[in-house]
Amino acid sequence: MSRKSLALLALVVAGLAQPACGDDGRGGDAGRGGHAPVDIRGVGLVRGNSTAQFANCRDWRAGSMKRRHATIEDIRGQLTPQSSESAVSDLSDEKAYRIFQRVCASEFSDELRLYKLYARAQAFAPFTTEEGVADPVP
Amino acid sequence: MLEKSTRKRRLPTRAVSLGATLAAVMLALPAFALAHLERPSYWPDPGPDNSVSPPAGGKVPEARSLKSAASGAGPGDVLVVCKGTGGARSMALLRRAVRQARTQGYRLRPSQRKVKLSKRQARRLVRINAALAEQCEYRSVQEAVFDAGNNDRVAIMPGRYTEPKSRRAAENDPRCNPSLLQRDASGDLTPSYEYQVTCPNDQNLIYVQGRAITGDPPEPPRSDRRGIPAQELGGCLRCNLQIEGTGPKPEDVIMDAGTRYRSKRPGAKPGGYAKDVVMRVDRADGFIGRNFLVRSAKEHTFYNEEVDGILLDRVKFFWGADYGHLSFTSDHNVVQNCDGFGAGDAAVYPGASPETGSQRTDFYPDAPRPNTVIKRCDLHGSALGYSGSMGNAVRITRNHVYGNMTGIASDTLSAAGHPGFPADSSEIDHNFIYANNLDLYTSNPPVAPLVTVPIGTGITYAGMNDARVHHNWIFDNWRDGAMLFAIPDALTNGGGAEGDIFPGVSCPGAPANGLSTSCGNQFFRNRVGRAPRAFRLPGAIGKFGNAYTRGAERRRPNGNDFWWGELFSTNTGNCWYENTGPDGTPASVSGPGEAGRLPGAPPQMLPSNCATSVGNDDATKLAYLIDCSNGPDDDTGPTDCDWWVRPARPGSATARSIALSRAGAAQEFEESPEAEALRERLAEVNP
Repeated sequence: MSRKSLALLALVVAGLAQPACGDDGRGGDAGRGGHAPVDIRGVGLVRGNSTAQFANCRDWRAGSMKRRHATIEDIRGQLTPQSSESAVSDLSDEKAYRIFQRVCASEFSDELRLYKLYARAQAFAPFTTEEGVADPVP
Repeated sequence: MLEKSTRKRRLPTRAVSLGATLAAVMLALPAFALAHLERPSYWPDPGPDNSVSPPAGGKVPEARSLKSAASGAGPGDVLVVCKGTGGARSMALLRRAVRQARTQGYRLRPSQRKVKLSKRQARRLVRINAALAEQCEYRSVQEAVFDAGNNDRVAIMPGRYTEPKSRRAAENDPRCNPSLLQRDASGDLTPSYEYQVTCPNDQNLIYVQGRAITGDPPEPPRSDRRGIPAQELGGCLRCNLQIEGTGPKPEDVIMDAGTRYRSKRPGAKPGGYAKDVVMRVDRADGFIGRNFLVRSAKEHTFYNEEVDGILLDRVKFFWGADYGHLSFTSDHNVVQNCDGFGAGDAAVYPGASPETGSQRTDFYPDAPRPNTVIKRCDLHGSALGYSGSMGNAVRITRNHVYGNMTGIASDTLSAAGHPGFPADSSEIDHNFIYANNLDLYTSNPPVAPLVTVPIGTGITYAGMNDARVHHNWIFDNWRDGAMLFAIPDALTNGGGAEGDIFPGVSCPGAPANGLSTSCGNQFFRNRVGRAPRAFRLPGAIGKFGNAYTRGAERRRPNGNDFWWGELFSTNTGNCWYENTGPDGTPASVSGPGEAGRLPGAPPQMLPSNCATSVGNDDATKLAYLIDCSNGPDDDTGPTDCDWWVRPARPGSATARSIALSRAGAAQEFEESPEAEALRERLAEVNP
């Protein structure tokens, strides 16, 4: 296992030992309800007032920082269980941003759908340190 | 009695602790079947709707013969769609297709032998089409569907139907957007059923509205997804509708949302897409689709939602950028004699299927039963041949699944909107699952992957209960024949199941203990690492550069036959027995994998006693999965994730060298402080 992976594993283990949901120490104020401002559209094709369905890595790379953040906010809302009253995610928007940045750097990533990536990362989010998720690749 | 609905919430401490410990497992889930975003969907009433005669739904519908369309026998009207004046163009195409089918034959799907029409069959088919041509009043499939009613039939004569009027329809049509968007509990918007009805070609090339609208959907959606809410469910408008092509083979009738093809071949790759979905069948109980090709969509080439009773027979799904076929919250659902390739996710996807398995309730008085059957299909040339989130009680049988990155995946990890937690009662039997070694993780891939999956894998169950995998031939998958691992509840869907969780979850203590998946799965009487005698590889086996073993030798080993996560001691009842390996004996079956304490060398070390099998808290596999979860990177160390590259051919010197290196590294890791820390955490939550 590479040094990077070992370092990540250590961070994951450290993260496991921390309180997860309800822990205010994860930092970041994102992932806490609300919806994308109507005047800033996410990246990618729009369907039903949302870009969550189609936004992919190519769109991500082409988007401005503001539009990328709007995309994350949009996806977060769409991936909240439909009977939930708040669009809350344990994956902070900052973490999501960095994950998309990393994954979308790969050469085959053009069509990878962001919401499919987000769903996985969201599930992992409660259990890692900010650094563990954010910086798996130096 | 129902469990209280699991809602988006902060998790209780216990669940958090479990989830935290198990978090790394989630990392192993590279978006296997993360489905799609959709309106809140409900399982339809499984009983027949007697408001129409014959009743709609309640069973898989039976197709009516093409001959009866020409004679007008049976209930309903026949609406004929054709090309050319009086169908002249269609008749010319038909005659040519019949001549080819008569002289050269055709393959219904690549793995099958050619069939030829007899002289009598050829004459009969021409005669029927000639009669239909005289009735032809439509040039557009959508226009015929608009005019169709209950029990009617739409007969489509040979030709390519691009539906220009549908293509011109506005996307995000202001007549519907935003006024007919449906709001979920947190305020997020999706197109409602009324949206689709009012603007049918906003997203769809061809839209089949099954039922009338009577009112607004409940906001927020009901947690109990059994039964479409009466307040929005109108009567049948197009129940028992049959749409069929009239040529000798499916490719003779193409419904097509693609643009800028480089050739006129039916399998040609599109340069673009005009619509999200080629054909969408919505609440149309008793639907039959037969003998056509749906081609090229930005999302799915065929899509059915909230349908009770649907049969797709001799249907092909080519170049759905996301899914070829997608069925959702549908019952009495059969897809047979199909062929799908070119999907960026899966060629066929039945998701959120009803709870007719372990978690059945009296809503399904005839359960347990499969609610969906995928049979006699070729699923190939895609990121996944088959996938299904919350694929409850789906049977996959007698298919050929080959030439994908991963052949079959079913999981309990899904995007919001997938009721049916957790997935259970999948049955995979009597299939041929081979050579799923396609590498699409390259620059300019022939099929653009929308998901990240492990190259070289036959079957993956990421969170499944009570599955039966038996009597399959599983060979030449260069990573693993079949994988099984658990998904802790806290890691699904951001911590919350969609809708109610019904009794019957098969893991001990679940769902209260937060470990609801990967129990009671049985793999038995499969033949692994060996091809059947005189097996003929389909011509499409090498499509898109797929790697496979050539030659006549029957021995075609998988990289490893059975990989089991064996992560938690609460994973009970998983067992492998009476499987035979490359030499025809149980002793040559390999498992459980190369990353764990038990390297993947025969004899297999997987538990065969279903009554005593428990997971053994394997830290090395956990570490391996953690690395996989990070997605593709440049690391190539012996314990780094290797899912993103095609594995070396099993048995090659390179493969042996890698296996040795990984086994050694795994043992070394077992003694590391990191492994010890993981074990301590696992022991803490699994005393």
